[in-house]
Amino acid sequence: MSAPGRREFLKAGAAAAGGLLLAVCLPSRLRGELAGAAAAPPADAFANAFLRIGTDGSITITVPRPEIGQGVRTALPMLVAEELEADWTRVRVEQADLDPERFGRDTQFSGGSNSVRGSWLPMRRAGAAAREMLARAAAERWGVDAGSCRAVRGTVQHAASGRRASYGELAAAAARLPVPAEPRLKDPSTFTVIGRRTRLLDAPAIVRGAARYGLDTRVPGMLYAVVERAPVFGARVERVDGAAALAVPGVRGVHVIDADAIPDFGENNPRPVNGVAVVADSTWAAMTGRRALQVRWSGGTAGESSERLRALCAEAARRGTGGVARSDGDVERALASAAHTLEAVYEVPFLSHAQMEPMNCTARASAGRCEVWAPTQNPEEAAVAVGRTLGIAPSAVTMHIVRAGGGFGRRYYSDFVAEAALVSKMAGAPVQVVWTREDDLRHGFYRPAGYHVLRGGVDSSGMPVAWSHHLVNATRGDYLRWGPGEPGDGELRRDTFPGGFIPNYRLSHTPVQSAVPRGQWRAVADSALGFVDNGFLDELARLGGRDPLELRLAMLGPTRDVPYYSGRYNTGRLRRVLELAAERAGWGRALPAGRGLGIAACYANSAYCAHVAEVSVERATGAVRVHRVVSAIDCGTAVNPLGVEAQVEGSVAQGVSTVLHEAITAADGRVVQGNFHEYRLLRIGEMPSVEVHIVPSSGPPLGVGEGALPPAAPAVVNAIHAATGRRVRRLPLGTGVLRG
Amino acid sequence: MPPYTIRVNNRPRPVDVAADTPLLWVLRDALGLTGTKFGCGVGACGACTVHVGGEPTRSCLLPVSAIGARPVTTIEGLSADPSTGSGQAGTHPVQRAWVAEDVAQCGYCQAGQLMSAAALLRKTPHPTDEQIDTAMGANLCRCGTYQRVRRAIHRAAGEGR
Repeated sequence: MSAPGRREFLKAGAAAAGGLLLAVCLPSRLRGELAGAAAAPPADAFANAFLRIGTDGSITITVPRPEIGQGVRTALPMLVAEELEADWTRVRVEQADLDPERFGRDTQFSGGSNSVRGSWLPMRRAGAAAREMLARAAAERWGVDAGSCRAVRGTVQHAASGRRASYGELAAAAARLPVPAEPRLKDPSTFTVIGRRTRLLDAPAIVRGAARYGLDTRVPGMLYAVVERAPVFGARVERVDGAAALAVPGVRGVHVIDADAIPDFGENNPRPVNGVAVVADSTWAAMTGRRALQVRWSGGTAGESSERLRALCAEAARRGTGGVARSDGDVERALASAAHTLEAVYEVPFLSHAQMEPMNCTARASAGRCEVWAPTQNPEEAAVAVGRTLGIAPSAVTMHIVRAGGGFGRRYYSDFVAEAALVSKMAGAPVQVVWTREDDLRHGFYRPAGYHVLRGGVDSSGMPVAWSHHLVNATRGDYLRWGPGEPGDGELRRDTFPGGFIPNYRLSHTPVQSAVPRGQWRAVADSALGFVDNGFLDELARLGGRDPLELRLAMLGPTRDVPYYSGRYNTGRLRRVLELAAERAGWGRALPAGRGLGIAACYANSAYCAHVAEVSVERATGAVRVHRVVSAIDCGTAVNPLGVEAQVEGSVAQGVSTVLHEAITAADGRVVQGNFHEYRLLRIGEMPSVEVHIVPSSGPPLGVGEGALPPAAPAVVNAIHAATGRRVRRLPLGTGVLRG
Repeated sequence: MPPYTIRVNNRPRPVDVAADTPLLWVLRDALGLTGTKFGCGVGACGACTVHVGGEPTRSCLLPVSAIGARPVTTIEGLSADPSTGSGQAGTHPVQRAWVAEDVAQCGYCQAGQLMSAAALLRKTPHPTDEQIDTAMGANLCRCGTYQRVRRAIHRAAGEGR
């Protein structure tokens, strides 16, 4: 079940497939994962790439991936602790720097819902190897057979003689033993840590204000900078008068960022934009200096606007049906002979990630080197970006991975890291570049807007017999310069349900050009497609007089594996989440007027997830209230069920937010929205109660960071239809649209 | 620049900053109290919430020159505040409840959420869901932890009973 397409969120997309994962991990396993780490402090008697054991029995587990709120600093240590038979209360966590030598390439990113999946075997093996070595050390000490020694909660015990020794006592001896090539992993039925509801290890630090995020980085001699970036897409600095800025007390310098002169970072790794940096002793002095800057800009795409783009899409949709991404049967013939047909246009806007911590990065550039403290999802590519920017090798970049206040895909790109490195070099000092909220909202890489033309037909029994989905949009691949690909590459999903379940089925794409920067956003293309597919399927169900749940189940048919890009997914697992959510939500029960239930489900981003939303709409105002969402998710083994629930709750919140509020629009070549009064996010009073049901599984973990998002918005939209009879096909829902 | 002495977490702190410097940046840059977060700069997200004179206040909008003698409490001082906590870090009822309910995801907004929640409970020891929604309505969380925020406030209210 690999992530679809190339150059997706997950750059090593194929690594998600179990077999490949093993292949990818084996070389690094031999090189670093299980071998002794050279730099272990003296108090640590035993060390491998992921763990250290102190002579006092303390366990330090190294987390190689960025923490962006998905809980890796808890879930990944659980993998090691399980196999190590560690005492969880003695586990401490440390964040690794970027270190491909130690961890292997392409293993230190957070994206594509891959963190737990990708670390599942390597981190368990590291724990298991240490456990075996500790047991052998004990066996040698006691002169008994290693097989008769058992690891229990931070000790090795020999039942026959009643002897026991703590890991701390055994660590030094264990470190001298050969590393087992194939350590034995525990049987899942014996798990005591994996699968246990476990609170965030960082929670105590977070509630004291002691957890350090990117913006909390403090480096001796550090200055602060803010950057006035090109207001119009692609504009260049023509002239700067920095005199007034330099006159502000505390301002140390004004530097032009000539981003056009920075060498290319390669595909999927966009460069910073042109700008002017104001460097000062404090953030506030830098902000004050920036307001005093006089900058004249030239060039850029001043004609770009959301209105223009929408008209362009509508026109292109009228002119043709686009390049074909998938074609089964004969859609036109099936439509002509269908009992009932329907045509509808679905529209989604650009979206901002709007993570709570504004973008920022701290860098110290010096001769031939650069040290970086980056709240990044993608440290390896960030090092490439810094290297290219400064003309040094990526290996000359020391990349500290810093806790990030949210990510959602924005921090996968490295523009903000490269920019900080360049400003540090120009300022000749360590610099923290702070983005204001306005900078953050106006200089993002937005979830692409889309104009979707849907045509469908059902037979006399109400079964869909024809489905045509023509997407017209400006793709993110085009912005990120992916080069030629299949039609709709990265925007359409060839194998997503109902693809393969309707005999006459066509997906097609027409590209248009836009200057609005585009990139991945939580759940990537599925963030839009989940809404479009589940909304239109709900329409076809009603068109054919079928219940939307019953129709989905009928379409899925018997349990079997079906193709999904280079892997497969299982129809029974998709059916199970639909049935579970429906049952727990009381699907089919009678509701008062103005209230309705809606259902939606996806296999996307490596999880099976269904939601049933219960919604009411106030007639007089059209105000929508989402009361309750019942969710069912199958993510394979739920390593930390408490964390899985958190991800589902958060995905529901974000999905509801996109229905009610969120849109980035462009006018006169600029992003319109500057702050949270214009780019509204869901607030607590709008949050439904969310009830999460996890399907029990002992299979390998899938992914949970994104998969619950795609069905969230359509569940709400389908419930609005059930409540009012009105179909929402364009997001977000404007104020008063549903009035009366 | 005129020096100011502000009272932060029960300690007088002299600072030498421009008069219009928002309290947020005084705390973060001048005093090294980075627990208070920058989210929007316009009082629209609540991440920078602290207590000033006991009232929940958006520190990104309050110039240092306007603080006067009012005491400032930040997340670092929440449990050391004798009126609300035991004096030991992290032991205020809302802090304990936040850990117990596993509220945080990325955690960035939580200092502001906690300060708003502590202020709510001081005035309304046993708030209803509606009162929580009103009092917490200006604190944004992009990770969507709202349901657990509500639970944690109820839990903290129960402990205070």
